[in-house]
Amino acid sequence: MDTAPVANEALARKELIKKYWLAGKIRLVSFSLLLFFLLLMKSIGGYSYVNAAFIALICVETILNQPYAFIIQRVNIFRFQYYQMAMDIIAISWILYYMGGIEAPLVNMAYYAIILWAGVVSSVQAVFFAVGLSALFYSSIIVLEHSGFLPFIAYYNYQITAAQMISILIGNVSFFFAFGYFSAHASRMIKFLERKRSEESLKYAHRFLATGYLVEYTVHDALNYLANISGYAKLLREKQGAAVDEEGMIKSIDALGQKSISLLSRLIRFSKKPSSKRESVSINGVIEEALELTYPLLRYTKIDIDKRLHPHIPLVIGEKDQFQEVFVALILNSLEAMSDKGTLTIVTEPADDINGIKIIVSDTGSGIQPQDISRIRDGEPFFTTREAKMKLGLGLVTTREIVAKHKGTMDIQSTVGKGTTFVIQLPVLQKEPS
Amino acid sequence: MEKKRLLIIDDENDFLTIAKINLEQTGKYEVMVLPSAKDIISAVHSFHPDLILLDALMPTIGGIEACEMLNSDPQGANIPTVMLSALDKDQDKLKAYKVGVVDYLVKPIEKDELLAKIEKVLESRT
Repeated sequence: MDTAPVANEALARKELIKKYWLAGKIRLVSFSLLLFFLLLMKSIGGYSYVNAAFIALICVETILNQPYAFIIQRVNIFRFQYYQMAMDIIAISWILYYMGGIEAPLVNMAYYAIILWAGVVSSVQAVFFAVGLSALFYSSIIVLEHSGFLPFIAYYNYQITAAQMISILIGNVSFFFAFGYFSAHASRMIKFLERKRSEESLKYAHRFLATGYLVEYTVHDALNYLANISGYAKLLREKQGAAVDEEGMIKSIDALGQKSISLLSRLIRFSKKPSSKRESVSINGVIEEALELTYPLLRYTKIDIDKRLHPHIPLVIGEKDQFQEVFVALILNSLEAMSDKGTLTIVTEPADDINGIKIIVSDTGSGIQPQDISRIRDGEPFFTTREAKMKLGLGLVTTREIVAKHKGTMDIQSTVGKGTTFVIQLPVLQKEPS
Repeated sequence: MEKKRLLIIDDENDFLTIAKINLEQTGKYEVMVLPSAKDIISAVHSFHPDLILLDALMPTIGGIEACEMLNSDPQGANIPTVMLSALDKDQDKLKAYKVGVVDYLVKPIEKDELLAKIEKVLESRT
Protein backbone atom coordinates (compact mmCIF):
# COMPACT_ATOMS: atom_id res chain seq x y z
CA MET A 1 0.00 0.00 0.00
CA ASP A 2 1.37 3.37 -0.96
CA THR A 3 -1.23 5.42 0.79
CA ALA A 4 0.88 6.77 3.62
CA PRO A 5 2.43 9.88 1.99
CA VAL A 6 -0.91 10.71 0.39
CA ALA A 7 -2.67 10.35 3.74
CA ASN A 8 -0.04 12.50 5.47
CA GLU A 9 -0.24 15.21 2.82
CA ALA A 10 -4.02 15.19 2.93
CA LEU A 11 -3.94 15.61 6.69
CA ALA A 12 -1.38 18.43 6.49
CA ARG A 13 -3.49 20.12 3.82
CA LYS A 14 -6.60 19.80 5.95
CA GLU A 15 -4.80 21.31 8.93
CA LEU A 16 -3.43 24.18 6.84
CA ILE A 17 -6.83 24.90 5.29
CA LYS A 18 -8.32 25.05 8.79
CA LYS A 19 -5.74 27.64 9.83
CA TYR A 20 -6.18 29.64 6.63
CA TRP A 21 -9.94 29.51 6.95
CA LEU A 22 -9.63 31.18 10.35
CA ALA A 23 -7.05 33.59 8.96
CA GLY A 24 -9.44 34.45 6.14
CA LYS A 25 -12.11 35.50 8.62
CA ILE A 26 -9.65 37.63 10.56
CA ARG A 27 -8.40 39.23 7.34
CA LEU A 28 -11.91 39.97 6.11
CA VAL A 29 -12.89 41.65 9.37
CA SER A 30 -9.58 43.57 9.57
CA PHE A 31 -9.69 44.86 6.00
CA SER A 32 -13.40 45.73 6.25
CA LEU A 33 -12.75 47.75 9.39
CA LEU A 34 -9.74 49.44 7.81
CA LEU A 35 -11.74 50.33 4.71
CA PHE A 36 -14.59 51.70 6.80
CA PHE A 37 -12.14 53.72 8.88
CA LEU A 38 -10.36 55.18 5.85
CA LEU A 39 -13.63 56.10 4.13
CA LEU A 40 -14.76 57.77 7.33
CA MET A 41 -11.51 59.71 7.60
CA LYS A 42 -11.69 60.70 3.96
CA SER A 43 -15.28 61.93 4.37
CA ILE A 44 -14.34 64.15 7.31
CA GLY A 45 -11.25 65.42 5.48
CA GLY A 46 -8.51 63.74 7.54
CA TYR A 47 -5.35 61.94 6.34
CA SER A 48 -4.19 63.69 3.20
CA TYR A 49 -2.51 60.55 1.82
CA VAL A 50 -5.83 58.68 1.71
CA ASN A 51 -6.42 59.01 -2.01
CA ALA A 52 -8.56 57.03 -4.44
CA ALA A 53 -5.74 54.58 -5.31
CA PHE A 54 -5.12 53.85 -1.66
CA ILE A 55 -8.80 53.24 -0.92
CA ALA A 56 -9.03 51.13 -4.09
CA LEU A 57 -6.18 48.95 -2.80
CA ILE A 58 -7.86 48.33 0.53
CA CYS A 59 -11.15 47.79 -1.28
CA VAL A 60 -9.54 45.16 -3.55
CA GLU A 61 -7.96 43.43 -0.55
CA THR A 62 -11.36 43.38 1.20
CA ILE A 63 -13.14 42.01 -1.87
CA LEU A 64 -10.39 39.44 -2.46
CA ASN A 65 -10.91 38.16 1.06
CA GLN A 66 -14.65 37.62 0.55
CA PRO A 67 -14.41 34.27 -1.28
CA TYR A 68 -11.38 33.23 0.81
CA ALA A 69 -12.95 30.14 2.33
CA PHE A 70 -14.16 29.09 -1.13
CA ILE A 71 -10.77 29.66 -2.77
CA ILE A 72 -8.60 27.83 -0.22
CA GLN A 73 -10.64 24.66 -0.70
CA ARG A 74 -9.91 24.68 -4.41
CA VAL A 75 -6.28 25.67 -4.71
CA ASN A 76 -2.99 24.03 -3.86
CA ILE A 77 -2.81 25.43 -0.35
CA PHE A 78 0.94 24.81 -0.11
CA ARG A 79 1.56 27.13 -3.09
CA PHE A 80 -1.28 29.44 -2.21
CA GLN A 81 0.36 30.46 1.05
CA TYR A 82 3.37 31.77 -0.91
CA TYR A 83 1.16 33.66 -3.40
CA GLN A 84 -0.74 35.16 -0.52
CA MET A 85 2.42 36.24 1.27
CA ALA A 86 3.73 37.82 -1.93
CA MET A 87 0.44 39.67 -2.52
CA ASP A 88 0.33 40.87 1.08
CA ILE A 89 3.92 42.11 0.96
CA ILE A 90 3.22 43.97 -2.29
CA ALA A 91 0.08 45.52 -0.76
CA ILE A 92 1.92 46.53 2.42
CA SER A 93 4.71 48.07 0.36
CA TRP A 94 2.14 50.06 -1.61
CA ILE A 95 0.46 51.26 1.60
CA LEU A 96 3.91 52.06 2.99
CA TYR A 97 4.68 54.16 -0.06
CA TYR A 98 1.39 56.10 0.12
CA MET A 99 1.78 56.66 3.85
CA GLY A 100 5.14 58.34 3.55
CA GLY A 101 7.69 55.60 2.89
CA ILE A 102 10.37 55.57 5.55
CA GLU A 103 8.38 58.03 7.65
CA ALA A 104 5.19 55.98 7.55
CA PRO A 105 4.03 55.38 11.10
CA LEU A 106 3.97 51.71 12.18
CA VAL A 107 3.25 50.37 8.69
CA ASN A 108 6.42 48.27 8.56
CA MET A 109 5.00 46.36 11.55
CA ALA A 110 2.74 44.69 8.99
CA TYR A 111 5.84 43.00 7.51
CA TYR A 112 6.55 41.51 10.93
CA ALA A 113 2.98 40.25 11.11
CA ILE A 114 3.49 38.37 7.83
CA ILE A 115 6.84 36.96 8.97
CA LEU A 116 5.30 35.83 12.24
CA TRP A 117 2.33 34.29 10.42
CA ALA A 118 4.69 32.38 8.14
CA GLY A 119 6.47 30.96 11.19
CA VAL A 120 3.39 30.03 13.18
CA VAL A 121 1.28 28.61 10.37
CA SER A 122 3.61 27.67 7.54
CA SER A 123 7.24 26.61 7.59
CA VAL A 124 10.84 27.75 7.97
CA GLN A 125 11.09 28.15 4.19
CA ALA A 126 8.00 30.35 4.23
CA VAL A 127 9.58 32.50 6.94
CA PHE A 128 12.68 33.14 4.86
CA PHE A 129 10.55 33.73 1.79
CA ALA A 130 8.59 36.37 3.74
CA VAL A 131 11.75 37.94 5.18
CA GLY A 132 13.53 38.07 1.81
CA LEU A 133 10.56 39.51 -0.07
CA SER A 134 9.77 42.02 2.70
CA ALA A 135 13.38 43.22 2.74
CA LEU A 136 13.42 43.50 -1.06
CA PHE A 137 10.15 45.46 -1.37
CA TYR A 138 10.76 47.61 1.68
CA SER A 139 14.24 48.57 0.48
CA SER A 140 13.02 49.15 -3.09
CA ILE A 141 10.19 51.50 -2.01
CA ILE A 142 12.45 53.47 0.30
CA VAL A 143 15.34 53.75 -2.14
CA LEU A 144 13.19 54.48 -5.21
CA GLU A 145 11.19 57.10 -3.36
CA HIS A 146 14.27 58.69 -1.87
CA SER A 147 16.11 58.74 -5.17
CA GLY A 148 13.13 60.29 -6.94
CA PHE A 149 12.17 57.35 -9.17
CA LEU A 150 8.82 57.26 -7.37
CA PRO A 151 6.92 60.53 -6.70
CA PHE A 152 7.77 61.77 -3.23
CA ILE A 153 4.87 61.34 -0.75
CA ALA A 154 6.09 62.19 2.74
CA TYR A 155 3.99 61.92 5.84
CA TYR A 156 5.62 64.92 7.47
CA ASN A 157 6.56 66.46 4.11
CA TYR A 158 10.17 66.28 5.25
CA GLN A 159 12.93 64.53 3.32
CA ILE A 160 15.69 62.83 5.31
CA THR A 161 19.32 62.57 4.19
CA ALA A 162 20.67 59.58 2.31
CA ALA A 163 22.83 58.59 5.28
CA GLN A 164 19.80 58.63 7.60
CA MET A 165 17.76 56.71 5.04
CA ILE A 166 20.44 54.04 4.64
CA SER A 167 20.94 53.57 8.37
CA ILE A 168 17.18 53.29 9.02
CA LEU A 169 16.91 50.94 6.06
CA ILE A 170 19.74 48.72 7.29
CA GLY A 171 18.30 48.76 10.80
CA ASN A 172 14.83 47.73 9.64
CA VAL A 173 16.06 45.06 7.23
CA SER A 174 18.31 43.66 9.95
CA PHE A 175 15.29 43.49 12.22
CA PHE A 176 13.38 41.65 9.50
CA PHE A 177 16.10 39.00 9.40
CA ALA A 178 16.47 38.83 13.17
CA PHE A 179 12.72 38.51 13.58
CA GLY A 180 12.67 35.93 10.78
CA TYR A 181 15.33 33.92 12.60
CA PHE A 182 13.22 33.76 15.77
CA SER A 183 10.08 33.15 13.77
CA ALA A 184 11.80 30.19 12.03
CA HIS A 185 12.74 28.82 15.45
CA ALA A 186 9.15 29.24 16.56
CA SER A 187 8.07 27.42 13.42
CA ARG A 188 10.38 24.49 14.17
CA MET A 189 9.19 24.39 17.76
CA ILE A 190 5.52 24.44 16.71
CA LYS A 191 6.09 21.69 14.15
CA PHE A 192 7.92 19.64 16.77
CA LEU A 193 5.09 20.07 19.28
CA GLU A 194 2.47 19.26 16.64
CA ARG A 195 4.39 16.12 15.68
CA LYS A 196 4.71 15.07 19.32
CA ARG A 197 1.00 15.63 19.85
CA SER A 198 0.23 13.67 16.71
CA GLU A 199 2.54 10.83 17.79
CA GLU A 200 0.95 10.77 21.23
CA SER A 201 -2.53 10.52 19.76
CA LEU A 202 -1.38 7.89 17.25
CA LYS A 203 0.21 5.86 20.03
CA TYR A 204 -3.14 5.66 21.75
CA ALA A 205 -4.92 5.30 18.41
CA HIS A 206 -3.15 2.01 17.85
CA ARG A 207 -3.84 0.83 21.38
CA PHE A 208 -7.51 1.68 21.05
CA LEU A 209 -7.67 0.07 17.60
CA ALA A 210 -6.20 -3.14 19.00
CA THR A 211 -8.50 -2.95 22.02
CA GLY A 212 -11.51 -2.46 19.78
CA TYR A 213 -10.63 -5.60 17.91
CA LEU A 214 -10.01 -7.62 21.07
CA VAL A 215 -13.24 -6.38 22.65
CA GLU A 216 -15.47 -8.13 20.15
CA TYR A 217 -14.04 -11.58 20.81
CA THR A 218 -13.36 -11.09 24.51
CA VAL A 219 -16.87 -9.85 25.23
CA HIS A 220 -18.37 -12.76 23.28
CA ASP A 221 -16.37 -15.17 25.42
CA ALA A 222 -17.35 -13.36 28.60
CA LEU A 223 -20.99 -13.37 27.52
CA ASN A 224 -20.87 -17.09 26.94
CA TYR A 225 -19.32 -17.65 30.35
CA LEU A 226 -22.08 -15.55 31.90
CA ALA A 227 -24.73 -17.39 29.90
CA ASN A 228 -23.35 -20.68 31.21
CA ILE A 229 -23.34 -19.34 34.77
CA SER A 230 -26.97 -18.37 34.24
CA GLY A 231 -27.68 -21.83 32.75
CA TYR A 232 -26.17 -23.61 35.77
CA ALA A 233 -28.04 -21.31 38.15
CA LYS A 234 -31.35 -22.13 36.48
CA LEU A 235 -30.63 -25.85 36.64
CA LEU A 236 -29.76 -25.59 40.32
CA ARG A 237 -32.91 -23.59 41.03
CA GLU A 238 -35.11 -26.09 39.22
CA LYS A 239 -33.18 -29.07 40.64
CA GLN A 240 -34.88 -31.46 38.28
CA GLY A 241 -33.56 -34.87 37.53
CA ALA A 242 -30.93 -37.02 39.12
CA ALA A 243 -28.40 -35.96 36.49
CA VAL A 244 -27.86 -32.65 38.25
CA ASP A 245 -24.50 -32.67 39.96
CA GLU A 246 -24.95 -29.72 42.33
CA GLU A 247 -21.40 -29.72 43.67
CA GLY A 248 -19.93 -29.89 40.17
CA MET A 249 -22.18 -27.08 38.93
CA ILE A 250 -21.25 -24.77 41.80
CA LYS A 251 -17.59 -25.41 41.03
CA SER A 252 -18.26 -24.69 37.35
CA ILE A 253 -20.08 -21.45 38.23
CA ASP A 254 -17.11 -20.40 40.35
CA ALA A 255 -14.64 -21.28 37.58
CA LEU A 256 -16.69 -19.47 34.93
CA GLY A 257 -16.97 -16.41 37.15
CA GLN A 258 -13.21 -16.37 37.67
CA LYS A 259 -12.62 -16.80 33.94
CA SER A 260 -14.96 -13.89 33.16
CA ILE A 261 -13.25 -11.68 35.72
CA SER A 262 -9.74 -12.40 34.49
CA LEU A 263 -10.78 -12.09 30.84
CA LEU A 264 -12.42 -8.70 31.30
CA SER A 265 -9.80 -7.44 33.76
CA ARG A 266 -7.03 -8.15 31.26
CA LEU A 267 -8.91 -6.28 28.57
CA ILE A 268 -9.66 -3.31 30.83
CA ARG A 269 -6.01 -3.13 31.90
CA PHE A 270 -4.88 -3.15 28.28
CA SER A 271 -7.41 -0.54 27.18
CA LYS A 272 -6.30 1.96 29.82
CA LYS A 273 -3.74 4.65 29.14
CA PRO A 274 -0.43 2.86 29.69
CA SER A 275 1.41 3.49 32.91
CA SER A 276 4.80 5.13 32.42
CA LYS A 277 6.18 3.53 35.57
CA ARG A 278 9.59 1.98 34.99
CA GLU A 279 10.06 -1.32 36.70
CA SER A 280 11.77 -4.71 36.42
CA VAL A 281 9.88 -6.59 33.77
CA SER A 282 9.83 -10.29 32.98
CA ILE A 283 9.53 -10.42 29.20
CA ASN A 284 8.38 -14.04 29.42
CA GLY A 285 5.56 -12.92 31.71
CA VAL A 286 4.61 -10.10 29.37
CA ILE A 287 4.51 -12.51 26.40
CA GLU A 288 2.30 -14.93 28.37
CA GLU A 289 -0.08 -12.07 29.22
CA ALA A 290 -0.16 -10.90 25.60
CA LEU A 291 -1.02 -14.44 24.49
CA GLU A 292 -3.78 -14.65 27.11
CA LEU A 293 -5.14 -11.30 25.99
CA THR A 294 -5.24 -12.36 22.35
CA TYR A 295 -6.42 -15.89 23.13
CA PRO A 296 -10.10 -15.11 22.38
CA LEU A 297 -9.01 -14.40 18.81
CA LEU A 298 -6.34 -17.04 18.48
CA ARG A 299 -8.52 -19.87 19.67
CA TYR A 300 -10.83 -19.50 16.70
CA THR A 301 -8.01 -19.84 14.21
CA LYS A 302 -5.89 -22.71 12.96
CA ILE A 303 -2.75 -20.94 14.01
CA ASP A 304 -0.33 -23.12 15.95
CA ILE A 305 1.53 -21.35 18.68
CA ASP A 306 5.13 -22.51 18.99
CA LYS A 307 6.21 -20.88 22.24
CA ARG A 308 9.78 -21.41 23.40
CA LEU A 309 10.45 -19.11 26.30
CA HIS A 310 13.86 -19.47 27.91
CA PRO A 311 13.23 -20.04 31.63
CA HIS A 312 16.22 -18.07 32.83
CA ILE A 313 16.33 -14.91 30.79
CA PRO A 314 17.11 -11.84 32.86
CA LEU A 315 14.64 -9.09 33.68
CA VAL A 316 14.72 -5.81 31.82
CA ILE A 317 13.93 -2.36 33.15
CA GLY A 318 11.14 -0.58 31.37
CA GLU A 319 7.46 0.23 31.04
CA LYS A 320 5.57 -3.03 31.34
CA ASP A 321 2.40 -1.74 29.66
CA GLN A 322 4.41 -0.68 26.65
CA PHE A 323 6.14 -4.04 26.38
CA GLN A 324 2.73 -5.68 26.49
CA GLU A 325 1.58 -3.44 23.66
CA VAL A 326 4.60 -4.55 21.62
CA PHE A 327 3.72 -8.23 21.87
CA VAL A 328 -0.01 -7.71 21.40
CA ALA A 329 0.78 -5.71 18.25
CA LEU A 330 3.15 -8.40 16.94
CA ILE A 331 0.69 -11.20 17.67
CA LEU A 332 -2.22 -9.36 16.05
CA ASN A 333 -0.05 -8.48 13.07
CA SER A 334 0.95 -12.12 12.65
CA LEU A 335 -2.66 -13.20 13.02
CA GLU A 336 -3.64 -10.76 10.31
CA ALA A 337 -0.81 -11.83 8.03
CA MET A 338 -1.62 -15.53 8.35
CA SER A 339 -5.34 -15.28 7.57
CA ASP A 340 -6.27 -17.71 10.36
CA LYS A 341 -3.84 -20.45 9.34
CA GLY A 342 -0.13 -21.01 10.00
CA THR A 343 2.41 -21.05 12.80
CA LEU A 344 3.25 -18.26 15.18
CA THR A 345 6.62 -18.81 16.81
CA ILE A 346 7.71 -16.86 19.85
CA VAL A 347 11.19 -17.46 21.20
CA THR A 348 13.05 -15.76 24.01
CA GLU A 349 16.72 -16.37 24.69
CA PRO A 350 19.66 -14.62 26.30
CA ALA A 351 21.73 -12.46 23.94
CA ASP A 352 25.13 -12.57 25.57
CA ASP A 353 26.82 -10.50 22.85
CA ILE A 354 24.79 -7.43 23.84
CA ASN A 355 24.32 -8.39 27.49
CA GLY A 356 20.64 -8.51 26.85
CA ILE A 357 17.80 -10.67 25.67
CA LYS A 358 16.60 -11.63 22.24
CA ILE A 359 12.94 -12.13 21.36
CA ILE A 360 12.01 -13.67 18.03
CA VAL A 361 8.43 -13.46 16.82
CA SER A 362 7.85 -15.09 13.46
CA ASP A 363 4.88 -16.07 11.39
CA THR A 364 4.20 -18.03 8.23
CA GLY A 365 1.97 -15.34 6.79
CA SER A 366 1.86 -13.18 3.71
CA GLY A 367 5.05 -11.25 4.51
CA ILE A 368 5.78 -7.55 4.13
CA GLN A 369 6.90 -5.79 0.97
CA PRO A 370 10.51 -4.42 1.18
CA GLN A 371 9.34 -0.82 0.67
CA ASP A 372 6.84 -1.29 3.48
CA ILE A 373 9.59 -2.47 5.83
CA SER A 374 11.42 0.78 5.06
CA ARG A 375 8.28 2.66 6.01
CA ILE A 376 8.08 0.89 9.35
CA ARG A 377 11.75 1.78 9.94
CA ASP A 378 11.04 5.39 8.98
CA GLY A 379 8.12 5.44 11.42
CA GLU A 380 5.46 6.58 8.98
CA PRO A 381 2.48 6.88 11.28
CA PHE A 382 -0.34 6.07 8.86
CA PHE A 383 1.36 3.05 7.46
CA THR A 384 -0.67 -0.07 6.85
CA THR A 385 0.71 -3.17 5.19
CA ARG A 386 -2.34 -4.37 3.37
CA GLU A 387 -6.03 -3.95 2.87
CA ALA A 388 -6.60 -5.88 6.03
CA LYS A 389 -9.62 -6.19 8.23
CA MET A 390 -7.73 -5.13 11.34
CA LYS A 391 -5.68 -2.25 9.86
CA LEU A 392 -3.05 -2.83 12.50
CA GLY A 393 0.06 -1.88 10.52
CA LEU A 394 0.34 1.17 12.69
CA GLY A 395 1.17 -1.17 15.57
CA LEU A 396 4.50 -2.07 13.99
CA VAL A 397 5.55 1.56 13.91
CA THR A 398 4.56 1.94 17.56
CA THR A 399 6.36 -1.31 18.39
CA ARG A 400 9.57 -0.09 16.83
CA GLU A 401 9.34 3.18 18.74
CA ILE A 402 8.73 1.44 22.07
CA VAL A 403 11.69 -0.89 21.53
CA ALA A 404 13.93 2.06 20.57
CA LYS A 405 12.76 3.96 23.66
CA HIS A 406 14.02 1.04 25.75
CA LYS A 407 17.39 1.25 23.97
CA GLY A 408 16.67 -1.91 22.05
CA THR A 409 16.57 -2.79 18.36
CA MET A 410 13.96 -4.40 16.17
CA ASP A 411 15.01 -6.13 12.99
CA ILE A 412 12.44 -7.21 10.42
CA GLN A 413 13.15 -10.03 7.99
CA SER A 414 10.35 -10.83 5.62
CA THR A 415 9.76 -12.81 2.47
CA VAL A 416 6.56 -12.05 0.63
CA GLY A 417 4.36 -15.11 0.64
CA LYS A 418 6.47 -16.95 3.21
CA GLY A 419 6.34 -14.96 6.40
CA THR A 420 7.93 -12.39 8.62
CA THR A 421 10.37 -12.57 11.50
CA PHE A 422 10.77 -9.80 14.02
CA VAL A 423 13.95 -9.95 16.07
CA ILE A 424 13.92 -7.71 19.10
CA GLN A 425 17.01 -7.23 21.21
CA LEU A 426 16.74 -5.48 24.55
CA PRO A 427 19.61 -4.63 26.84
CA VAL A 428 19.46 -6.08 30.32
CA LEU A 429 19.64 -3.41 32.91
CA GLN A 430 19.16 -5.66 35.88
CA LYS A 431 20.03 -9.27 36.46
CA GLU A 432 17.31 -11.68 37.42
CA PRO A 433 17.13 -11.99 41.21
CA SER A 434 18.39 -15.36 42.31
CA MET B 1 -43.12 -41.61 21.38
CA GLU B 2 -39.63 -42.33 20.17
CA LYS B 3 -37.04 -39.88 21.38
CA LYS B 4 -35.28 -37.76 18.78
CA ARG B 5 -31.51 -37.96 18.72
CA LEU B 6 -29.54 -34.78 18.96
CA LEU B 7 -25.81 -34.47 18.45
CA ILE B 8 -24.26 -31.30 19.92
CA ILE B 9 -20.69 -30.36 19.09
CA ASP B 10 -19.12 -27.47 20.92
CA ASP B 11 -15.71 -26.81 22.46
CA GLU B 12 -17.36 -25.29 25.54
CA ASN B 13 -17.90 -28.10 28.01
CA ASP B 14 -20.16 -26.00 30.21
CA PHE B 15 -22.48 -25.27 27.32
CA LEU B 16 -22.57 -28.97 26.46
CA THR B 17 -23.39 -29.93 30.05
CA ILE B 18 -26.20 -27.38 30.39
CA ALA B 19 -27.67 -28.06 26.96
CA LYS B 20 -27.60 -31.83 27.47
CA ILE B 21 -29.40 -31.59 30.84
CA ASN B 22 -31.96 -29.08 29.55
CA LEU B 23 -32.77 -31.08 26.45
CA GLU B 24 -32.91 -34.44 28.15
CA GLN B 25 -35.13 -33.01 30.88
CA THR B 26 -37.82 -32.39 28.28
CA GLY B 27 -38.08 -36.15 27.84
CA LYS B 28 -38.19 -35.74 24.08
CA TYR B 29 -34.55 -36.04 23.22
CA GLU B 30 -31.59 -38.32 23.51
CA VAL B 31 -28.46 -36.18 23.45
CA MET B 32 -24.88 -36.97 22.52
CA VAL B 33 -22.26 -34.31 23.03
CA LEU B 34 -18.79 -33.93 21.52
CA PRO B 35 -16.16 -31.30 22.47
CA SER B 36 -14.63 -31.36 18.99
CA ALA B 37 -15.76 -32.01 15.42
CA LYS B 38 -12.95 -34.42 14.58
CA ASP B 39 -15.15 -37.45 15.36
CA ILE B 40 -18.31 -36.05 13.76
CA ILE B 41 -18.55 -38.65 11.01
CA SER B 42 -18.07 -41.63 13.31
CA ALA B 43 -20.63 -40.10 15.72
CA VAL B 44 -23.12 -39.74 12.86
CA HIS B 45 -22.61 -43.39 11.90
CA SER B 46 -22.89 -44.70 15.43
CA PHE B 47 -25.52 -42.38 16.94
CA HIS B 48 -27.69 -41.66 13.86
CA PRO B 49 -28.76 -38.18 14.98
CA ASP B 50 -31.96 -36.54 13.73
CA LEU B 51 -30.41 -33.10 14.19
CA ILE B 52 -26.92 -31.73 14.71
CA LEU B 53 -26.19 -28.57 16.70
CA LEU B 54 -22.76 -27.38 15.67
CA ASP B 55 -20.65 -24.58 17.07
CA ALA B 56 -19.21 -22.39 14.32
CA LEU B 57 -16.08 -21.34 16.15
CA MET B 58 -14.03 -24.23 17.34
CA PRO B 59 -10.28 -24.77 17.34
CA THR B 60 -8.81 -27.11 14.70
CA ILE B 61 -12.06 -27.98 12.91
CA GLY B 62 -14.54 -25.12 12.74
CA GLY B 63 -18.28 -25.43 12.16
CA ILE B 64 -18.05 -24.68 8.44
CA GLU B 65 -15.45 -27.38 7.86
CA ALA B 66 -17.48 -29.81 9.96
CA CYS B 67 -20.48 -29.09 7.72
CA GLU B 68 -18.37 -29.77 4.65
CA MET B 69 -17.30 -33.08 6.22
CA LEU B 70 -20.97 -33.92 6.78
CA ASN B 71 -21.87 -32.95 3.22
CA SER B 72 -19.25 -35.31 1.84
CA ASP B 73 -20.67 -38.19 3.84
CA PRO B 74 -23.80 -39.88 2.36
CA GLN B 75 -25.41 -40.31 5.77
CA GLY B 76 -24.29 -36.97 7.21
CA ALA B 77 -25.43 -34.96 4.19
CA ASN B 78 -29.10 -35.68 4.99
CA ILE B 79 -29.01 -34.60 8.63
CA PRO B 80 -30.28 -31.09 9.33
CA THR B 81 -27.66 -28.95 11.01
CA VAL B 82 -28.17 -25.85 13.14
CA MET B 83 -25.14 -23.63 13.52
CA LEU B 84 -24.40 -22.03 16.86
CA SER B 85 -22.07 -19.07 16.94
CA ALA B 86 -20.80 -16.35 19.19
CA LEU B 87 -20.49 -14.08 16.18
CA ASP B 88 -23.50 -12.30 14.79
CA LYS B 89 -22.13 -11.18 11.45
CA ASP B 90 -23.95 -11.43 8.16
CA GLN B 91 -20.91 -12.83 6.37
CA ASP B 92 -20.57 -15.63 8.94
CA LYS B 93 -24.25 -16.46 8.58
CA LEU B 94 -23.95 -16.42 4.82
CA LYS B 95 -21.01 -18.83 4.93
CA ALA B 96 -23.02 -21.14 7.17
CA TYR B 97 -26.10 -21.11 4.95
CA LYS B 98 -23.90 -21.75 1.92
CA VAL B 99 -22.69 -25.02 3.42
CA GLY B 100 -26.28 -26.06 4.03
CA VAL B 101 -27.18 -25.28 7.64
CA VAL B 102 -30.91 -24.94 8.23
CA ASP B 103 -30.66 -22.30 10.93
CA TYR B 104 -28.12 -20.07 12.64
CA LEU B 105 -28.35 -19.26 16.35
CA VAL B 106 -26.28 -16.59 18.04
CA LYS B 107 -24.88 -17.40 21.47
CA PRO B 108 -25.68 -16.92 24.27
CA ILE B 109 -28.89 -18.85 23.61
CA GLU B 110 -31.82 -18.99 25.98
CA LYS B 111 -33.06 -22.47 26.83
CA ASP B 112 -36.58 -21.78 25.49
CA GLU B 113 -35.25 -20.40 22.23
CA LEU B 114 -33.05 -23.44 21.73
CA LEU B 115 -35.94 -25.83 22.42
CA ALA B 116 -38.26 -23.93 20.08
CA LYS B 117 -35.72 -23.93 17.24
CA ILE B 118 -35.01 -27.63 17.63
CA GLU B 119 -38.71 -28.45 17.59
CA LYS B 120 -39.31 -26.28 14.56
CA VAL B 121 -36.49 -27.85 12.57
CA LEU B 122 -37.53 -31.39 13.49
CA GLU B 123 -41.19 -30.67 12.66
CA SER B 124 -40.25 -29.33 9.25
CA ARG B 125 -38.42 -32.57 8.57
CA THR B 126 -41.33 -34.84 9.35
